[in-house]
Amino acid sequence: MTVRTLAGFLLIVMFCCGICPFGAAAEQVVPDYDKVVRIQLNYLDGAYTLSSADVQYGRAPNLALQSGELKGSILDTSGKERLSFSTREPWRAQGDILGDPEGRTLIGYTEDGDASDMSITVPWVQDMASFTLTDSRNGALLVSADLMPAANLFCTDYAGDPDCQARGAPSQLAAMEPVPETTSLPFVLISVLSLSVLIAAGLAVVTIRRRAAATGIPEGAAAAVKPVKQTVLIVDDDPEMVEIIDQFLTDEGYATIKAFSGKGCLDILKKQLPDLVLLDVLMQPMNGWETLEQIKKDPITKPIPVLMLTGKHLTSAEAKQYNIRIDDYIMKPLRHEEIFTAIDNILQRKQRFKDGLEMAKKVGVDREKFCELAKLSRRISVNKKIIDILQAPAGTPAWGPDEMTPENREVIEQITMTTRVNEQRAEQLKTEINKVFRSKGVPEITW
Amino acid sequence: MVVSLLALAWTVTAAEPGSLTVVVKDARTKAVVGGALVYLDGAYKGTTADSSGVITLDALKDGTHTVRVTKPDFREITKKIVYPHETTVSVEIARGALVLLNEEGEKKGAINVVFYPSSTSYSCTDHAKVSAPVYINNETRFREDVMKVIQSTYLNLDKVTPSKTPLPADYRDRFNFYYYYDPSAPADAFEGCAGTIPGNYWKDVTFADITVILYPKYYGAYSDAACQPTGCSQDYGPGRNLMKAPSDQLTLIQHETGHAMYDLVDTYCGNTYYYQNDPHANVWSSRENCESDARSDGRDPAQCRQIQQAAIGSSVSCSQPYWRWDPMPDIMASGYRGKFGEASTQRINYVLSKAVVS
Repeated sequence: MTVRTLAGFLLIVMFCCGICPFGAAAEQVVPDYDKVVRIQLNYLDGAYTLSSADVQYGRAPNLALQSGELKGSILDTSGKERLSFSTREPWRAQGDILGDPEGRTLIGYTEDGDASDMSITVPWVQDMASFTLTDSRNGALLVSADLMPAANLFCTDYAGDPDCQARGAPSQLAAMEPVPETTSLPFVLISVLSLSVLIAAGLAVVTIRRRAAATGIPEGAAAAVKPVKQTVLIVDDDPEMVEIIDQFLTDEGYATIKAFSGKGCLDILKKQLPDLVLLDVLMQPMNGWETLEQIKKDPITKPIPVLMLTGKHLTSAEAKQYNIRIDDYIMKPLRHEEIFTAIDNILQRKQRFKDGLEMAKKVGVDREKFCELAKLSRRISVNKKIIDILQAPAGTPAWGPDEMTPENREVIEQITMTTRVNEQRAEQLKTEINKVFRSKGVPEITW
Repeated sequence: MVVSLLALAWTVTAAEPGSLTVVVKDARTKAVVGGALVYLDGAYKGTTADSSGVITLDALKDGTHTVRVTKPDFREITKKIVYPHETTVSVEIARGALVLLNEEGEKKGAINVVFYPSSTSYSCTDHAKVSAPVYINNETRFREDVMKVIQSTYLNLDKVTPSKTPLPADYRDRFNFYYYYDPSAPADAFEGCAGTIPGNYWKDVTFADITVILYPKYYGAYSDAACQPTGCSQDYGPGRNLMKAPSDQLTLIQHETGHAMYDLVDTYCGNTYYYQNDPHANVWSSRENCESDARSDGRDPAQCRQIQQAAIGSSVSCSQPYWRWDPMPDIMASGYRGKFGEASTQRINYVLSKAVVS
């Protein structure tokens, strides 16, 4: 044994016996203080509202990977941005159906939900005070949340957590030593009162409805405003046609807004949100389909039902491309009662879904499930109408199977298949929901 | 004044600090658990002894305290106690449902992918959702399918991307893979577009960049368009990014991962969602944008073409006002075969570059 090996051996023995008391290299214990902030939001008809915000132990996802049209920010008490990230709108589900293995590509379907939950998980930020969600495309504030109550509540339970101790003045309440029971009552009362005030104040300011901003109605004013007539935006580049429809609608008690081009329609929608859009297809330079695309692209205008109006036959390509975006399709020449029936159907359907959703919420039916049924129900109704139009365009007798173009036949087959599957799924959902409704003594869904 | 008086009262009546004994046990076996990390009111106090599962916490003041216990592979637990009413507290911790699949351990900054089993599948014969308990009855089978999917898709990315646009040499090291297995709470792949997972998972797993609901192979064979074995992705916000796919359709899994992880857009023509996914888009809202990006990325602008599809024996049956560059067979257009093209791979590289592993 050389001197060098002996020295080495001694070093190992010294290391193991002296530094490692258990005779082996003890694994170093690293306390885990990772925390996340969870912000739960509800998305409904283009508006975001805060559901809850809380802090819990746990690791955060990798925010750098996120991309999308929305920007989330964590701000400190001075309003300075301490953390930001991108995220997508929650209503967009992209579905892909496997087609024929012999060479067909995928078949797509989008689930454009009018309602969805959203959950944002971000790491604890030492000086965090609030959260904001904005639309990156136009900078509009969608919702904000006061994070102080959540942080203070957490620090009440975990006052010894190094981050709680370091939070300083705003969370002194939470960072205090545990209070002896004999004297705890006044402190608990003060704590509870303070927290209640903070939470109440937080809840009062967190929700900012973009709809209110778009319509110019100040927050809080909504309750004082009397119910107004349903508003219909009429869009047609033929001024005479606009006047005729306007006359129809105002006589029946609707409020109307008029636009004479696709661009004019989009400009109005930036300032005012109607209950329904009546949109002519054949317009120049932006036609009705292009206008429809733009309406459905914007999350604020997306939930507005659109009734297409045209003297031109619906083509199979148009039917295939736009069937999920439209709410109904009326052929010119217009008949007075046809317009009203279509408008009434759409607006009543919208109201039925809203009432049903409210009831579903009360009896504990899953919101996603109810919204899926509402969406399917709308799609089934629109698709059936489209199939009828493709099979027998206005003014023509119904085509026999051999007289149809291959494109029409293919699209009809495809929409029929989709409708059949949608009907099966809708029936299944309706059975499940009605079971709950029945058990709670609530009238069942009949649509 | 009131606050001062209350503070004085508190000082006068405060009891002398005492000690609390914490015993940690395994919830299932009831055996003592050593090496558990114990925190009092959020502050780390030490680990339980291997032999007894006990730790004694000193200098406790009277009042309510929070005891938190953590240990790798176990679910952390928090218990509230009132001292001195309780001087000994027994805490039972249960093994967690989250299983790490990386042999070399977790990597900080990596992309976290968590697989979740579905107890439902789809029947092409009945055109309906069917119960498929294979994963719920057999964890080994689920684990095997997950490993196969990981090896054939996430870790096989270099085989489905062009060599002209190489991936980072260490791209395989930029992922953490896990699965979550709780047979009492399976996912339902056919509830909603991307499926649903019971709420406890989201409480338990806060860090998932993508959660993949894997459902067993669908029943029957493709016969018509109403046979709907599907994939879907839906992003409910950071930490809640969900996708679903059948375990045997590897290209479809790549396709859905393209959406969920890399924000790639469909390049087939149909009822899907199109947008220009800047930066490093694979779909553009105009020919000019497509050509301009192609030129600046060293690709041939002449390959830019509108997203269209011809019907059988006819002219155009579907046309979208968006443009694509990647050649067919393109994974973002097909569910059965293909590769990610150069444009898609540039986007993939962009996302991978954000996963800085340490």
